[in-house]
Amino acid sequence: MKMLLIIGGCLMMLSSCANVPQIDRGILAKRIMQFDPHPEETIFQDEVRAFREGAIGGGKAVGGGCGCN
Amino acid sequence: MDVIKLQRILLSTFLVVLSIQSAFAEMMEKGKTKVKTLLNVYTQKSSTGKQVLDNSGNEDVTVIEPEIFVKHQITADTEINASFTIDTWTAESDTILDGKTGASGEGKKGQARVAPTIGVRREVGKSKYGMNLGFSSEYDYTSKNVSANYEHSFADDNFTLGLGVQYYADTVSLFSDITPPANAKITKDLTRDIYAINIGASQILTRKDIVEVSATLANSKGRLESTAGTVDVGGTREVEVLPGKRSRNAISGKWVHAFSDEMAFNLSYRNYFDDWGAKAHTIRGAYLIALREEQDFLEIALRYHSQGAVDYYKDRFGSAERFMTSDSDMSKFSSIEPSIMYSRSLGGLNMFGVNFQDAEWANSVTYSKRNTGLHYTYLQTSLAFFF
Repeated sequence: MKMLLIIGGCLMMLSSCANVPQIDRGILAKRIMQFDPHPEETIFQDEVRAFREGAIGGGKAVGGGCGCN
Repeated sequence: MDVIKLQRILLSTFLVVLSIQSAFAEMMEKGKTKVKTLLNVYTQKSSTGKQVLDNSGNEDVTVIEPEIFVKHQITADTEINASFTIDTWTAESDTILDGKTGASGEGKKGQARVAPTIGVRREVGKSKYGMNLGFSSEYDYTSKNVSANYEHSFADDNFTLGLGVQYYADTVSLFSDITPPANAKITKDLTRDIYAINIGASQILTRKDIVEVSATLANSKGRLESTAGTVDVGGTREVEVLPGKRSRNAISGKWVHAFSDEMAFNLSYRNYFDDWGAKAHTIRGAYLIALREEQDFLEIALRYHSQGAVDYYKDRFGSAERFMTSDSDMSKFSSIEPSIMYSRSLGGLNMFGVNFQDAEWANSVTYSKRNTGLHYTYLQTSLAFFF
Protein backbone atom coordinates (compact mmCIF):
# COMPACT_ATOMS: atom_id res chain seq x y z
CA MET A 1 0.00 0.00 0.00
CA LYS A 2 2.85 2.36 0.91
CA MET A 3 4.45 1.68 -2.45
CA LEU A 4 1.18 2.30 -4.32
CA LEU A 5 0.79 5.67 -2.57
CA ILE A 6 4.33 6.68 -3.51
CA ILE A 7 3.81 5.64 -7.13
CA GLY A 8 0.44 7.38 -7.30
CA GLY A 9 1.88 10.55 -5.80
CA CYS A 10 4.79 10.61 -8.25
CA LEU A 11 2.51 10.05 -11.23
CA MET A 12 0.15 12.84 -10.14
CA MET A 13 3.03 15.26 -9.68
CA LEU A 14 4.57 14.40 -13.03
CA SER A 15 1.34 14.55 -15.01
CA SER A 16 0.58 18.03 -13.64
CA CYS A 17 3.77 19.58 -15.06
CA ALA A 18 3.57 22.32 -17.71
CA ASN A 19 4.12 21.10 -21.28
CA VAL A 20 7.20 21.91 -23.35
CA PRO A 21 6.25 22.49 -27.02
CA GLN A 22 7.73 20.22 -29.71
CA ILE A 23 9.73 23.09 -31.20
CA ASP A 24 11.64 23.57 -27.93
CA ARG A 25 12.74 19.94 -27.60
CA GLY A 26 15.93 20.10 -29.68
CA ILE A 27 18.24 19.34 -26.77
CA LEU A 28 15.93 16.68 -25.34
CA ALA A 29 16.20 14.69 -28.59
CA LYS A 30 19.98 14.38 -28.32
CA ARG A 31 21.74 11.18 -27.27
CA ILE A 32 23.19 12.79 -24.15
CA MET A 33 19.62 13.28 -22.87
CA GLN A 34 18.51 9.66 -23.21
CA PHE A 35 17.76 7.80 -19.99
CA ASP A 36 19.85 4.89 -21.31
CA PRO A 37 22.13 5.93 -24.18
CA HIS A 38 23.61 2.40 -24.62
CA PRO A 39 20.84 -0.18 -23.99
CA GLU A 40 22.70 -3.22 -25.34
CA GLU A 41 25.66 -2.66 -22.99
CA THR A 42 23.22 -2.11 -20.13
CA ILE A 43 21.79 -5.64 -20.50
CA PHE A 44 25.09 -7.21 -19.36
CA GLN A 45 25.56 -4.61 -16.61
CA ASP A 46 22.06 -5.33 -15.26
CA GLU A 47 22.73 -9.08 -15.28
CA VAL A 48 25.97 -8.71 -13.35
CA ARG A 49 24.41 -6.39 -10.77
CA ALA A 50 21.30 -8.56 -10.34
CA PHE A 51 23.53 -11.50 -9.39
CA ARG A 52 26.28 -9.67 -7.54
CA GLU A 53 24.05 -7.42 -5.45
CA GLY A 54 20.79 -9.31 -5.13
CA ALA A 55 18.93 -6.01 -5.52
CA ILE A 56 16.90 -5.64 -8.69
CA GLY A 57 14.76 -2.89 -10.21
CA GLY A 58 15.54 0.19 -12.24
CA GLY A 59 16.86 -2.20 -14.91
CA LYS A 60 15.67 -5.10 -17.00
CA ALA A 61 17.32 -8.15 -15.42
CA VAL A 62 15.34 -9.84 -12.66
CA GLY A 63 16.14 -13.48 -13.47
CA GLY A 64 17.56 -15.78 -16.09
CA GLY A 65 21.08 -17.06 -16.33
CA CYS A 66 24.38 -15.28 -15.96
CA GLY A 67 27.84 -16.77 -16.43
CA CYS A 68 29.01 -14.67 -13.49
CA ASN A 69 27.14 -16.47 -10.71
CA MET B 1 -9.06 -14.54 -3.24
CA ASP B 2 -5.51 -15.09 -2.04
CA VAL B 3 -2.61 -12.95 -3.12
CA ILE B 4 -0.94 -15.62 -5.28
CA LYS B 5 -4.14 -16.23 -7.22
CA LEU B 6 -4.60 -12.50 -7.77
CA GLN B 7 -1.00 -12.17 -8.96
CA ARG B 8 -1.46 -15.07 -11.40
CA ILE B 9 -4.62 -13.50 -12.83
CA LEU B 10 -2.89 -10.12 -13.19
CA LEU B 11 0.11 -11.69 -14.88
CA SER B 12 -2.01 -13.74 -17.28
CA THR B 13 -4.12 -10.72 -18.15
CA PHE B 14 -1.10 -8.59 -18.89
CA LEU B 15 0.51 -11.28 -21.05
CA VAL B 16 -2.64 -11.74 -23.10
CA VAL B 17 -3.51 -8.07 -23.49
CA LEU B 18 -0.03 -6.77 -24.08
CA SER B 19 2.54 -7.74 -26.62
CA ILE B 20 5.64 -5.61 -26.57
CA GLN B 21 9.23 -4.56 -26.06
CA SER B 22 10.75 -1.13 -26.08
CA ALA B 23 14.48 -1.72 -25.76
CA PHE B 24 15.38 0.49 -28.69
CA ALA B 25 14.34 4.13 -28.76
CA GLU B 26 13.16 5.07 -32.23
CA MET B 27 11.79 3.17 -35.21
CA MET B 28 14.05 2.98 -38.29
CA GLU B 29 13.11 3.42 -41.93
CA LYS B 30 11.25 0.51 -43.50
CA GLY B 31 13.65 -2.17 -44.78
CA LYS B 32 16.59 -0.99 -42.71
CA THR B 33 18.63 -3.34 -40.52
CA LYS B 34 20.87 -2.59 -37.54
CA VAL B 35 23.54 -5.03 -36.39
CA LYS B 36 25.56 -4.61 -33.23
CA THR B 37 28.28 -6.94 -32.02
CA LEU B 38 29.32 -6.65 -28.40
CA LEU B 39 32.09 -8.36 -26.47
CA ASN B 40 31.94 -8.38 -22.65
CA VAL B 41 34.99 -9.48 -20.67
CA TYR B 42 34.47 -9.80 -16.91
CA THR B 43 37.12 -10.64 -14.32
CA GLN B 44 36.41 -10.94 -10.61
CA LYS B 45 38.86 -11.39 -7.75
CA SER B 46 38.01 -12.24 -4.16
CA SER B 47 39.30 -14.35 -1.29
CA THR B 48 36.53 -13.48 1.17
CA GLY B 49 33.57 -15.62 0.04
CA LYS B 50 32.21 -17.34 3.16
CA GLN B 51 30.09 -19.70 1.03
CA VAL B 52 33.07 -21.44 -0.54
CA LEU B 53 33.28 -25.11 0.41
CA ASP B 54 37.02 -25.43 0.98
CA ASN B 55 37.18 -22.32 3.20
CA SER B 56 39.58 -20.69 0.75
CA GLY B 57 37.12 -17.85 0.14
CA ASN B 58 38.16 -17.93 -3.51
CA GLU B 59 35.50 -16.31 -5.71
CA ASP B 60 37.65 -15.67 -8.77
CA VAL B 61 35.70 -15.71 -12.04
CA THR B 62 36.55 -14.81 -15.63
CA VAL B 63 33.74 -14.51 -18.18
CA ILE B 64 34.12 -13.88 -21.90
CA GLU B 65 30.79 -13.11 -23.54
CA PRO B 66 30.35 -12.26 -27.22
CA GLU B 67 26.87 -11.07 -28.21
CA ILE B 68 25.15 -10.03 -31.39
CA PHE B 69 22.01 -7.88 -31.65
CA VAL B 70 20.02 -7.55 -34.87
CA LYS B 71 16.90 -5.50 -35.52
CA HIS B 72 15.06 -5.11 -38.78
CA GLN B 73 12.25 -2.73 -39.71
CA ILE B 74 9.73 -4.87 -41.59
CA THR B 75 7.09 -2.15 -41.99
CA ALA B 76 6.91 1.55 -41.14
CA ASP B 77 5.56 0.77 -37.68
CA THR B 78 6.85 -2.75 -36.90
CA GLU B 79 10.30 -3.90 -35.96
CA ILE B 80 11.61 -7.39 -35.26
CA ASN B 81 14.72 -7.98 -33.21
CA ALA B 82 16.90 -10.83 -32.08
CA SER B 83 20.03 -11.40 -30.06
CA PHE B 84 22.38 -14.28 -29.46
CA THR B 85 24.82 -14.60 -26.58
CA ILE B 86 27.54 -17.13 -25.83
CA ASP B 87 29.34 -17.04 -22.49
CA THR B 88 32.45 -18.99 -21.77
CA TRP B 89 33.98 -18.77 -18.35
CA THR B 90 36.43 -20.11 -15.88
CA ALA B 91 35.39 -20.17 -12.25
CA GLU B 92 37.76 -21.33 -9.58
CA SER B 93 35.20 -21.89 -6.86
CA ASP B 94 31.64 -21.95 -8.12
CA THR B 95 31.67 -25.71 -8.66
CA ILE B 96 34.34 -26.78 -6.24
CA LEU B 97 32.56 -29.86 -4.97
CA ASP B 98 34.48 -32.57 -6.76
CA GLY B 99 37.44 -33.25 -8.96
CA LYS B 100 35.41 -33.12 -12.13
CA THR B 101 33.79 -29.78 -11.56
CA GLY B 102 35.99 -27.68 -9.37
CA ALA B 103 39.35 -26.18 -8.66
CA SER B 104 39.78 -28.60 -5.75
CA GLY B 105 40.36 -31.18 -8.43
CA GLU B 106 41.27 -30.35 -11.99
CA GLY B 107 39.04 -27.33 -12.15
CA LYS B 108 36.31 -26.87 -14.69
CA LYS B 109 37.41 -24.70 -17.57
CA GLY B 110 35.57 -23.50 -20.62
CA GLN B 111 32.05 -23.70 -19.28
CA ALA B 112 29.50 -22.18 -21.61
CA ARG B 113 26.09 -20.54 -21.70
CA VAL B 114 23.99 -19.84 -24.78
CA ALA B 115 21.16 -17.33 -24.67
CA PRO B 116 19.10 -16.42 -27.76
CA THR B 117 16.20 -13.92 -27.72
CA ILE B 118 13.63 -12.85 -30.31
CA GLY B 119 11.18 -9.97 -30.17
CA VAL B 120 8.78 -7.70 -31.96
CA ARG B 121 7.88 -4.06 -31.39
CA ARG B 122 5.10 -1.94 -32.84
CA GLU B 123 4.29 1.72 -32.71
CA VAL B 124 0.68 2.76 -33.27
CA GLY B 125 -0.24 6.40 -32.74
CA LYS B 126 0.79 7.41 -29.23
CA SER B 127 1.39 3.82 -28.14
CA LYS B 128 4.34 1.46 -28.37
CA TYR B 129 4.07 -2.19 -27.52
CA GLY B 130 6.12 -5.31 -27.94
CA MET B 131 7.05 -8.74 -26.73
CA ASN B 132 10.26 -10.72 -26.28
CA LEU B 133 11.03 -14.40 -25.79
CA GLY B 134 14.34 -15.58 -24.36
CA PHE B 135 16.17 -18.76 -23.50
CA SER B 136 19.35 -19.31 -21.54
CA SER B 137 21.17 -22.56 -20.87
CA GLU B 138 24.27 -23.39 -18.84
CA TYR B 139 25.36 -26.54 -17.00
CA ASP B 140 23.62 -25.70 -13.71
CA TYR B 141 20.92 -23.26 -14.83
CA THR B 142 18.31 -22.90 -17.57
CA SER B 143 15.86 -20.11 -18.19
CA LYS B 144 12.87 -19.66 -20.47
CA ASN B 145 11.48 -16.17 -20.27
CA VAL B 146 8.88 -13.91 -21.81
CA SER B 147 8.50 -10.17 -21.40
CA ALA B 148 5.93 -7.68 -22.61
CA ASN B 149 5.85 -3.90 -22.42
CA TYR B 150 3.39 -1.19 -23.24
CA GLU B 151 3.83 2.55 -23.16
CA HIS B 152 1.57 5.43 -24.06
CA SER B 153 2.40 9.10 -24.33
CA PHE B 154 0.12 11.91 -23.27
CA ALA B 155 0.08 15.72 -23.32
CA ASP B 156 1.74 16.11 -26.70
CA ASP B 157 4.38 13.51 -25.76
CA ASN B 158 5.43 15.38 -22.61
CA PHE B 159 4.27 12.58 -20.33
CA THR B 160 4.77 8.86 -20.96
CA LEU B 161 3.37 6.00 -18.94
CA GLY B 162 4.79 2.50 -19.28
CA LEU B 163 3.99 -0.96 -18.01
CA GLY B 164 6.09 -4.09 -18.35
CA VAL B 165 5.79 -7.69 -17.22
CA GLN B 166 8.40 -10.42 -17.18
CA TYR B 167 8.08 -14.12 -16.48
CA TYR B 168 11.02 -16.51 -16.06
CA ALA B 169 10.55 -20.28 -15.88
CA ASP B 170 14.02 -21.26 -14.67
CA THR B 171 15.61 -24.48 -13.46
CA VAL B 172 18.63 -24.85 -11.22
CA SER B 173 20.89 -27.78 -10.28
CA LEU B 174 21.70 -28.10 -6.58
CA PHE B 175 24.11 -30.23 -4.58
CA SER B 176 23.17 -32.32 -1.55
CA ASP B 177 25.05 -34.62 0.85
CA ILE B 178 28.24 -32.62 0.50
CA THR B 179 30.07 -34.15 3.46
CA PRO B 180 32.40 -35.54 2.31
CA PRO B 181 32.42 -33.47 -0.94
CA ALA B 182 33.51 -36.46 -3.02
CA ASN B 183 30.12 -38.09 -2.34
CA ALA B 184 28.10 -34.99 -3.22
CA LYS B 185 25.03 -35.60 -5.34
CA ILE B 186 23.63 -33.09 -7.77
CA THR B 187 19.90 -32.84 -8.51
CA LYS B 188 19.01 -31.20 -11.79
CA ASP B 189 15.96 -29.31 -13.09
CA LEU B 190 14.68 -27.95 -9.78
CA THR B 191 12.19 -25.23 -10.63
CA ARG B 192 12.48 -21.53 -9.94
CA ASP B 193 9.75 -19.18 -11.22
CA ILE B 194 10.18 -15.43 -11.27
CA TYR B 195 7.57 -12.92 -12.33
CA ALA B 196 7.92 -9.18 -12.25
CA ILE B 197 5.86 -6.10 -12.97
CA ASN B 198 7.42 -2.75 -13.74
CA ILE B 199 5.51 0.53 -13.84
CA GLY B 200 7.25 3.65 -15.06
CA ALA B 201 6.57 7.21 -16.10
CA SER B 202 8.65 9.96 -17.66
CA GLN B 203 7.97 13.66 -17.85
CA ILE B 204 9.63 16.52 -19.71
CA LEU B 205 10.11 19.25 -17.11
CA THR B 206 11.81 21.98 -19.14
CA ARG B 207 13.60 22.15 -22.51
CA LYS B 208 16.71 20.92 -20.63
CA ASP B 209 15.27 18.56 -18.02
CA ILE B 210 13.53 15.21 -18.13
CA VAL B 211 12.71 12.84 -15.26
CA GLU B 212 11.66 9.21 -14.97
CA VAL B 213 10.27 7.28 -12.02
CA SER B 214 9.62 3.54 -11.88
CA ALA B 215 8.63 0.81 -9.49
CA THR B 216 9.45 -2.89 -9.80
CA LEU B 217 7.74 -5.74 -7.99
CA ALA B 218 9.36 -9.17 -8.49
CA ASN B 219 8.29 -12.44 -6.89
CA SER B 220 10.36 -15.61 -6.96
CA LYS B 221 9.34 -19.07 -5.85
CA GLY B 222 10.85 -22.52 -5.96
CA ARG B 223 14.46 -23.40 -5.19
CA LEU B 224 16.26 -20.10 -4.63
CA GLU B 225 19.59 -21.46 -3.37
CA SER B 226 22.85 -21.22 -5.33
CA THR B 227 24.40 -24.33 -6.82
CA ALA B 228 27.65 -24.15 -4.89
CA GLY B 229 26.44 -22.18 -1.87
CA THR B 230 27.49 -23.78 1.41
CA VAL B 231 27.53 -22.75 5.08
CA ASP B 232 29.86 -23.58 7.96
CA VAL B 233 27.79 -25.21 10.73
CA GLY B 234 29.97 -25.84 13.77
CA GLY B 235 32.98 -26.55 11.57
CA THR B 236 31.16 -28.81 9.10
CA ARG B 237 30.14 -27.65 5.63
CA GLU B 238 26.45 -27.99 4.76
CA VAL B 239 24.45 -26.73 1.78
CA GLU B 240 22.72 -23.39 2.21
CA VAL B 241 18.97 -23.45 2.85
CA LEU B 242 16.72 -20.56 1.81
CA PRO B 243 12.94 -19.95 1.81
CA GLY B 244 10.94 -21.05 -1.22
CA LYS B 245 9.58 -17.55 -1.85
CA ARG B 246 11.03 -14.09 -2.12
CA SER B 247 9.22 -10.83 -2.81
CA ARG B 248 11.46 -8.02 -4.02
CA ASN B 249 10.56 -4.36 -4.48
CA ALA B 250 12.35 -1.34 -5.86
CA ILE B 251 11.53 2.29 -6.47
CA SER B 252 13.85 4.27 -8.69
CA GLY B 253 14.11 7.75 -10.14
CA LYS B 254 16.26 9.32 -12.82
CA TRP B 255 16.88 12.94 -13.77
CA VAL B 256 18.71 14.10 -16.89
CA HIS B 257 19.75 17.73 -17.09
CA ALA B 258 21.49 19.44 -20.02
CA PHE B 259 24.16 21.99 -19.16
CA SER B 260 24.56 22.84 -22.84
CA ASP B 261 23.99 21.34 -26.29
CA GLU B 262 27.01 19.10 -25.73
CA MET B 263 26.95 18.19 -22.04
CA ALA B 264 24.36 16.61 -19.74
CA PHE B 265 24.25 15.10 -16.27
CA ASN B 266 22.36 11.88 -15.57
CA LEU B 267 21.52 11.22 -11.92
CA SER B 268 19.67 8.13 -10.70
CA TYR B 269 18.69 6.65 -7.35
CA ARG B 270 17.15 3.29 -6.41
CA ASN B 271 15.69 2.15 -3.11
CA TYR B 272 15.36 -1.63 -2.77
CA PHE B 273 13.77 -3.82 -0.10
CA ASP B 274 12.57 -7.41 0.12
CA ASP B 275 10.89 -9.83 2.51
CA TRP B 276 14.20 -11.55 3.33
CA GLY B 277 15.21 -8.41 5.18
CA ALA B 278 17.58 -7.01 2.55
CA LYS B 279 17.62 -3.26 1.97
CA ALA B 280 19.76 -1.36 -0.50
CA HIS B 281 20.41 2.16 -1.70
CA THR B 282 22.05 2.80 -5.04
CA ILE B 283 23.00 6.16 -6.51
CA ARG B 284 24.69 6.84 -9.84
CA GLY B 285 25.82 10.05 -11.48
CA ALA B 286 27.13 10.35 -15.03
CA TYR B 287 28.41 13.14 -17.23
CA LEU B 288 27.52 12.66 -20.87
CA ILE B 289 29.49 14.68 -23.37
CA ALA B 290 28.98 14.96 -27.14
CA LEU B 291 32.25 15.41 -29.09
CA ARG B 292 33.28 16.06 -32.72
CA GLU B 293 30.09 17.91 -33.62
CA GLU B 294 28.01 15.28 -31.81
CA GLN B 295 29.41 12.36 -33.78
CA ASP B 296 31.19 10.93 -30.73
CA PHE B 297 30.00 10.33 -27.21
CA LEU B 298 31.80 10.21 -23.87
CA GLU B 299 30.30 9.05 -20.57
CA ILE B 300 32.04 9.26 -17.21
CA ALA B 301 30.07 7.74 -14.34
CA LEU B 302 30.35 6.91 -10.66
CA ARG B 303 28.00 4.50 -8.89
CA TYR B 304 27.66 3.81 -5.16
CA HIS B 305 25.76 0.82 -3.78
CA SER B 306 25.09 -0.01 -0.14
CA GLN B 307 23.13 -3.03 1.06
CA GLY B 308 22.24 -4.76 4.30
CA ALA B 309 22.47 -8.53 4.76
CA VAL B 310 19.44 -10.79 4.41
CA ASP B 311 18.03 -12.09 7.71
CA TYR B 312 19.41 -15.57 7.07
CA TYR B 313 23.02 -14.52 6.51
CA LYS B 314 25.88 -15.34 8.87
CA ASP B 315 29.57 -15.83 8.21
CA ARG B 316 29.29 -19.12 10.14
CA PHE B 317 26.59 -20.89 12.14
CA GLY B 318 26.99 -22.37 15.63
CA SER B 319 24.17 -24.84 15.02
CA ALA B 320 21.82 -25.66 12.16
CA GLU B 321 19.02 -23.17 11.57
CA ARG B 322 15.92 -23.42 9.41
CA PHE B 323 17.34 -21.02 6.81
CA MET B 324 21.07 -20.41 6.41
CA THR B 325 23.27 -18.69 3.85
CA SER B 326 26.80 -17.34 3.77
CA ASP B 327 26.55 -16.11 0.17
CA SER B 328 28.74 -13.00 -0.08
CA ASP B 329 26.26 -11.42 -2.53
CA MET B 330 23.65 -11.44 0.26
CA SER B 331 25.95 -10.04 2.95
CA LYS B 332 26.23 -6.46 4.15
CA PHE B 333 28.58 -4.45 1.96
CA SER B 334 29.03 -1.24 0.05
CA SER B 335 30.69 -0.81 -3.31
CA ILE B 336 31.99 2.01 -5.44
CA GLU B 337 31.99 1.71 -9.21
CA PRO B 338 33.63 4.19 -11.59
CA SER B 339 33.20 3.70 -15.33
CA ILE B 340 34.07 5.41 -18.58
CA MET B 341 32.70 4.86 -22.10
CA TYR B 342 33.76 6.36 -25.40
CA SER B 343 31.76 5.87 -28.57
CA ARG B 344 33.24 6.91 -31.93
CA SER B 345 31.40 7.33 -35.20
CA LEU B 346 33.20 5.63 -38.11
CA GLY B 347 30.74 6.77 -40.79
CA GLY B 348 30.46 4.47 -43.81
CA LEU B 349 32.30 1.17 -43.63
CA ASN B 350 33.13 -1.40 -46.30
CA MET B 351 33.41 -4.95 -45.00
CA PHE B 352 33.43 -8.15 -47.04
CA GLY B 353 32.64 -6.06 -50.12
CA VAL B 354 29.44 -4.67 -48.56
CA ASN B 355 28.89 -1.01 -47.73
CA PHE B 356 27.57 -0.39 -44.22
CA GLN B 357 26.26 2.95 -42.98
CA ASP B 358 26.65 4.91 -39.76
CA ALA B 359 29.14 2.54 -38.18
CA GLU B 360 29.93 3.16 -34.51
CA TRP B 361 32.68 1.71 -32.35
CA ALA B 362 32.27 1.93 -28.57
CA ASN B 363 34.53 0.91 -25.71
CA SER B 364 33.97 1.04 -21.99
CA VAL B 365 35.64 -0.09 -18.79
CA THR B 366 33.94 -0.48 -15.41
CA TYR B 367 35.64 -1.23 -12.11
CA SER B 368 33.77 -2.13 -8.93
CA LYS B 369 35.24 -2.59 -5.47
CA ARG B 370 33.45 -3.72 -2.31
CA ASN B 371 34.53 -2.83 1.19
CA THR B 372 34.72 -6.60 1.80
CA GLY B 373 37.58 -7.04 -0.65
CA LEU B 374 35.74 -8.44 -3.69
CA HIS B 375 36.43 -6.45 -6.83
CA TYR B 376 35.67 -6.90 -10.50
CA THR B 377 36.39 -5.22 -13.79
CA TYR B 378 34.60 -5.58 -17.07
CA LEU B 379 35.45 -4.34 -20.51
CA GLN B 380 32.83 -3.87 -23.21
CA THR B 381 33.64 -3.24 -26.86
CA SER B 382 31.04 -3.01 -29.60
CA LEU B 383 30.69 -2.33 -33.30
CA ALA B 384 27.32 -1.26 -34.68
CA PHE B 385 26.27 -0.52 -38.25
CA PHE B 386 23.24 -0.18 -40.50
CA PHE B 387 22.46 -1.48 -43.97
